[in-house]
Amino acid sequence: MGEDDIFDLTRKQVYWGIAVFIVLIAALMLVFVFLPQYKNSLIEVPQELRAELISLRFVNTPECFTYQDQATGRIFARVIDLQKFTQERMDKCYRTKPEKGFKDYNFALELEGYTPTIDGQKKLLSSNKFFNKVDFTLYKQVLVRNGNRLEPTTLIIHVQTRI
Amino acid sequence: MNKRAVTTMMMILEIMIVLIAAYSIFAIASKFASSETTNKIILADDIKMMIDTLIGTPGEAVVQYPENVSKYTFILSSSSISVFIKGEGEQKKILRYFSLPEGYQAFGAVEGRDTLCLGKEQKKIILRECAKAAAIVEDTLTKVASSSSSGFYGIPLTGERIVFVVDRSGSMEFASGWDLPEIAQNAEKAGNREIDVAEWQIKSALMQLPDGKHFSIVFFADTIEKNMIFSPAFTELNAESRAKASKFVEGWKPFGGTDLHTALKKALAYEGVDTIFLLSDGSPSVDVTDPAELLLKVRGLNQHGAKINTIGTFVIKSDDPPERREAKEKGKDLLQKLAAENSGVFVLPEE
Repeated sequence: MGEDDIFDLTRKQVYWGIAVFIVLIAALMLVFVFLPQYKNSLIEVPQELRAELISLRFVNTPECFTYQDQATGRIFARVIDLQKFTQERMDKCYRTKPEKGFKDYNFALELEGYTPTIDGQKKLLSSNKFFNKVDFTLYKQVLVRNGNRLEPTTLIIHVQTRI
Repeated sequence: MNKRAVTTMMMILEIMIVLIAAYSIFAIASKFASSETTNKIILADDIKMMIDTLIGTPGEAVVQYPENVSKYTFILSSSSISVFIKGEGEQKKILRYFSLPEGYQAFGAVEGRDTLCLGKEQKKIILRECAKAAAIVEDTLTKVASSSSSGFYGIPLTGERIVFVVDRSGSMEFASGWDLPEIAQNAEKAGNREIDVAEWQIKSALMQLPDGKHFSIVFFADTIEKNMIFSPAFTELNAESRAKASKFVEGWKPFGGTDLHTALKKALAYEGVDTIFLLSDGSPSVDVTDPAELLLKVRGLNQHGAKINTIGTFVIKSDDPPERREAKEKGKDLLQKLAAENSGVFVLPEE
């Protein structure tokens, strides 16, 4: 074996060593980085959409806060009955699991102009595992039934997606 | 081989390795994209979002899932939706939880059907095959009957090959909310317990049915012994078999739990059965006790489309204690769904 051949062999070994290393890294990246990312991109639903769909009940469901005419049974979507807008009602409307509910969507509701303030803090209606970690906020234009009057206002929905 | 040839060979080898690696990555990604786990996650998420949308929809609505879902099984309960492929392990089941407003219920199961529909009916979210969703109102109407003098508890006696499936569990000891059929009014009776009324209802039905029809009777509790079945195969109705069956239904003593699944399995195993009359409190306590699972199993057993009519033995009273009322409501729900999903009629005595 000549000197050139020995040099060639060593060069090939280094070359293949580097190539195997790069392929290995690429494979690991694929398994642990790109595939999970790809999987998430396939199943991902925007958080805002999920929150929007859940919060439909706050403005459209009479079992939550929506005004329903007792005489006719007619439901007035997007009309909030001020008498129903209580924490007790919120607990009945949306409740996450007692143990792992913090992993789910939680909400705090504020009815602009109607939410009382105690010691400088707004008293919001919140779901059972809402811990003030607001990820984003949704706004819904609604009417409030206050006595016999209907007044336009905004329902502010603070969303906590996961802790 | 000269040096130039070796270099060329190496280059070709390298290109092949790169191509194989690229193809492998593409194949893995494609396989991953079409993997059942991903599909199940997407389905479970979609159904969860459909449920949230239905809750937030005033009034009633039906939504059809826009894909063929025949590969999958879906079970909806009041707190979760599970999606899986029949036969695969528990760990592969995809579960999504949701929250319903107080007073709402969610239920239903679909297995191996092309279409899937979610419907909202008052405070119920119902998952079912779409063909049946079209007849929602018709199917789920509870036909409350106060008089049961004709038919079997007021249900017309249709069908050629009929099985009467009668609960004889402990709950049949309670006073019945059903009137005795007219035919029994002047007859001597052991009492007005559920089991007594059942005895007279079967006798009455046998008298109303014309000769030549085929029938059998299955009593059930937490077990079904041989002596609790009138005949293991259909018996042709005539004067002799009528008298024999009338004797058979007399004197049963209520005891034990309720194995609805085995009872229906036995009834559906009768060759050519086209009509079943199930009398029960609708509260299975043995074998399959989960209503959604029971409905699913019955769907699997009833491939030939026998009509299942259901009769509730209880009366839902306004002054029932909350737990008792809840149990009755659950029983009513199950019997109602059994009838609705199997082209039958559900009846319940009114208070």
